[in-house]
Amino acid sequence: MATATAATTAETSAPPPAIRKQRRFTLPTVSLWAGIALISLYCLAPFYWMFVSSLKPSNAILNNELWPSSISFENYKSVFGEQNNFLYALRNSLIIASLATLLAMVVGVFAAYALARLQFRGKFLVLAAVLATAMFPGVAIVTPLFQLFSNLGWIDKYQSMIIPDISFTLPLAIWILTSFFAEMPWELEQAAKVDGCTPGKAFRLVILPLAAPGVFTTAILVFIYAWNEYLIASVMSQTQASAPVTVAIAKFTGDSQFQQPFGTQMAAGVVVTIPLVILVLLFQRRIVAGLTAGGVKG
Amino acid sequence: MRRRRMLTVSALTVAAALALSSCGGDGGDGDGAAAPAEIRGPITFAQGKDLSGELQKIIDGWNTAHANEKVKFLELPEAADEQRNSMVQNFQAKSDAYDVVATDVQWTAEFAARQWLEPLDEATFGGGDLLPAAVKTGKYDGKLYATPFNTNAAFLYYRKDLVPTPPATWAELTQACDSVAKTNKMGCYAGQFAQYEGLTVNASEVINSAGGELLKDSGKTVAVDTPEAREGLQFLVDGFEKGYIPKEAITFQEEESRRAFQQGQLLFLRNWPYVFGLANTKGPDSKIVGKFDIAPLPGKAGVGASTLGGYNLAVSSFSKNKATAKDFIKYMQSEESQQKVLTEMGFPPVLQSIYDDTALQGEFPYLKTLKEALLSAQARPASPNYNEVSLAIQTNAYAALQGQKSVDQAIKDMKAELERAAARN
Amino acid sequence: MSSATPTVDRPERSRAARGSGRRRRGATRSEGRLAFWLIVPTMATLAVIVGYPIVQAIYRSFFSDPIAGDAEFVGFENYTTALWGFERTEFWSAFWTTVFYTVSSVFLEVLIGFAMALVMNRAFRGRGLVRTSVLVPWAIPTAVTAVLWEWMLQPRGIVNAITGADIVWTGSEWWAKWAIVIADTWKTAPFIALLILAGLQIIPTELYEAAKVDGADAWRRFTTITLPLVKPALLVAVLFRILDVLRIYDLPAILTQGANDTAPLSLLVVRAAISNLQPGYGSALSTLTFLFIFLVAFLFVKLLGTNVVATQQRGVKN
Repeated sequence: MATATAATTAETSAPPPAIRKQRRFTLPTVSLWAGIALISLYCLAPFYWMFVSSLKPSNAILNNELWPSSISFENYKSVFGEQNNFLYALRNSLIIASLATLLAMVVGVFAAYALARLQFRGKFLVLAAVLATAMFPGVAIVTPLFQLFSNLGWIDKYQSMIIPDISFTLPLAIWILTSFFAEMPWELEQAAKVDGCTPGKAFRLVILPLAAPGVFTTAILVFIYAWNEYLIASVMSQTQASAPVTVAIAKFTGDSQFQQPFGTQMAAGVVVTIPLVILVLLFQRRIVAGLTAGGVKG
Repeated sequence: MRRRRMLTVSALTVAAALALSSCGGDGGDGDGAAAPAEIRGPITFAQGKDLSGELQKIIDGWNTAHANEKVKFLELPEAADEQRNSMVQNFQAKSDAYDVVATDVQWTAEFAARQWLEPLDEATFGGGDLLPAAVKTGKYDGKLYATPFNTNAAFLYYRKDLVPTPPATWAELTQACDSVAKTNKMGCYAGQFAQYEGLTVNASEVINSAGGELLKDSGKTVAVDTPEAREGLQFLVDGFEKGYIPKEAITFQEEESRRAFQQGQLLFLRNWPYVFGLANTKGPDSKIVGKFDIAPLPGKAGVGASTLGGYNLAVSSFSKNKATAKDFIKYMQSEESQQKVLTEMGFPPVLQSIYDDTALQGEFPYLKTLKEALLSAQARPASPNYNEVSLAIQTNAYAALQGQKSVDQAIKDMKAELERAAARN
Repeated sequence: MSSATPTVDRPERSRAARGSGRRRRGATRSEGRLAFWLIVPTMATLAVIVGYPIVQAIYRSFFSDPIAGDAEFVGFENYTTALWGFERTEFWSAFWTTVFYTVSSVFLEVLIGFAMALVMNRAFRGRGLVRTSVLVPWAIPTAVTAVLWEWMLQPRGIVNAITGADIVWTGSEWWAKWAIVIADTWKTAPFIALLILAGLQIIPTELYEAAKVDGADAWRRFTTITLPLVKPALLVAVLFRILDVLRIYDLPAILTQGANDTAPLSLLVVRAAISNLQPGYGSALSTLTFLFIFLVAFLFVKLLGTNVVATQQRGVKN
């Protein structure tokens, strides 16, 4: 009995009904919790080290204590101190990543819809071409782009980073979205059309919500990519007016020219990860929400 | 009809792409060479991150006196490689965004050969009280393209509580290793041996200190295939083999080696002046406060030749306001500015007189030794293909230190790769 | 109304059953036009931002790299230098190193990622938190991750301290290579986990329930329902991971600077194009890298049939 309980997969997020309150320590349950523990350890242990290192004062940075004997916020102060202009960098990153995600999703959803739900010749060609653009080493693209944007006067402006970010994430976005849209059953659209919806509306109100897990996953991945992009940003931004956090972190310094500001970098890493974590916490509910939309049950 | 329309749009898209790209290309913002050299106006000074925060004050000194020719300080990333990339991108795009650039001493040949730097007048920028070795790093093919701003040379740091007289030759150093270091169960010597520019510095140092040479004639002739060069490299290889250089030193850059010395794990350390103040700061970071001193680097048969570090100032060929740029550089080299470079920013200045100032010697106890080191210092080989040259030195030295190549093979391979770099023109 | 048949050993049939219903062929013309306009923004962006630099790079690769003066046309010389000329040892060493990174990283990431996705798919309290924490490695900027691992792997760093080992991680060839693989796997297993999880979430529970009714055990349910239905998401994830690892740069650059034969192909490209100011040779290296990646992707798609379009058409055929 308990086996059936514990082994139910893809359950909705509602807490188990009252009758199933008694969980026995069966193998599936134990292995589930063991799995959770392992996963958390795997993902968070290095991050824990990062967090702990950010709290150590600079003269204690070398010791391997698992918890700092003296907690110091000097690294965080240094991150936000005037030397490093981090607040500007955060603002820039937010703008660049948000706009890039928004535009990439719109463009990507259009293209994926066409590829997954419409009939036309040359589909494979389009998919292949899109994929091919993801095969070139990024560094080869940087110099020509710099020259192009330099002549357009876009250096040190947001668009010089937003547009390349969109281009680099489109292949992944399109491939993921296409595969999700293609999985959707046809009858839904047909049923919607019978009910009087245009194809566009059918797509928006029926397919899109169902593909929500794929759509939001893609959005999160695009955002994270744009947030963490360094190569293009390092070349296109010159001052704090447009430099995102990745560039700002690269400019961190220690007290001397040879000192690697490990503590400050770790503090910056923690600070930079928090918005992403919040974003994911918000969006991960949506990944589940798609399932409870109940479209499949008709 | 539909297909024709689609083809038209596709063709237009491609054409737009090409058009945009060609309005990129080499139009650029003026071809720098044509701009007359006497124009004045506001300029931008691009330098790596200023850690002291004091550079802006020095610049403010200029700005108050020159309201129409203000200097804007543009901070580049801290890492030298990133600074170089930034400058290269701008030069390749022929942009006038940077007027005055702070260039590493090794970039002069590279930038000058590609006509990215404006030649400077030797009388104004190449003589006087400036340190000769530093001035030399600004020359390429007989002309002066960059002039010193700050400089650097390395010392031998030694534990004076364990070794009262510093070793003057390598033989004396290894002797101390066999006796003192062994009894105290500590590593003996370390420099910087990870595969990066620091290894090029250390490798060229030992080769020069043994009387060898790497390149000659502005990088056109390869001179490394000599017994002296082999002896130099052998000193380090022996260190790893015999254990007086700890094996973890293969990952050392400046900071790791400094820490090892400060934690009492090393008897001798080869490093830059910045270590002096840090090692004398009381705290858990340093166990050797007051227990160490500095001396010139030892060589094979006498004093060794430290590698010259530091930064020069140069004017971009694409700058619009070259006259202002040159005057600003002169200002940065003035005695007043150079004193601040030492006292406020903590860098070795480039005017010899400052080293002889007794008051400053009291404040910075290493000044005398530093001047000695600077006068006998040698720069790394100059070449328009410096990166290839540096890689050739680094990778082969690293392989030799790890025992993957014999010293003889490493030098031979280094020669072949250096020849290839020198042949490119 | 889903008509999932009770027997689940032929998922094709159940998918086809879902997809029953013919498309009206008559809509093709306007469809084609609509499709065209929907795809134009994508193609335009990619053409300008990626296509143009690639074309320029390939063109430049046929010219020399003089220091001063104009570049001359040298045909395939840059390519032959890399493949069997002066730089061949370096090139082929980087080639096989890149292959090693790709095979080990992707293999480990899929294993770990799939396991994580399966666990995260279950219902338990705090599921949201686990999902969020899983994304942490992926969310940290690569440069910060590289610095973090560089410190953890120092000879006197935390990893050696905890395991009691005395390994000079970044100072020896194979330890360094595995260090890079470990750091990369840590960082990107979440990427795969997330995509697989999204794929798992779309699988209707009725299929599992029906299978249970039929008496299928957990393993059988996994192999006959989960695997096939998650295949599209999994294959896209793996394909893109392969493309990414074949171009890996940051981790080796920061951890080892490419020493000890740990340099991947991208590092050679950066070295040539940016450090050595050799755009021609650098472009030739990137084109060679591109061709190699193209070949891999082609084989992958051919062998494993990541034909998202075919999924569509299969539904139609019924």
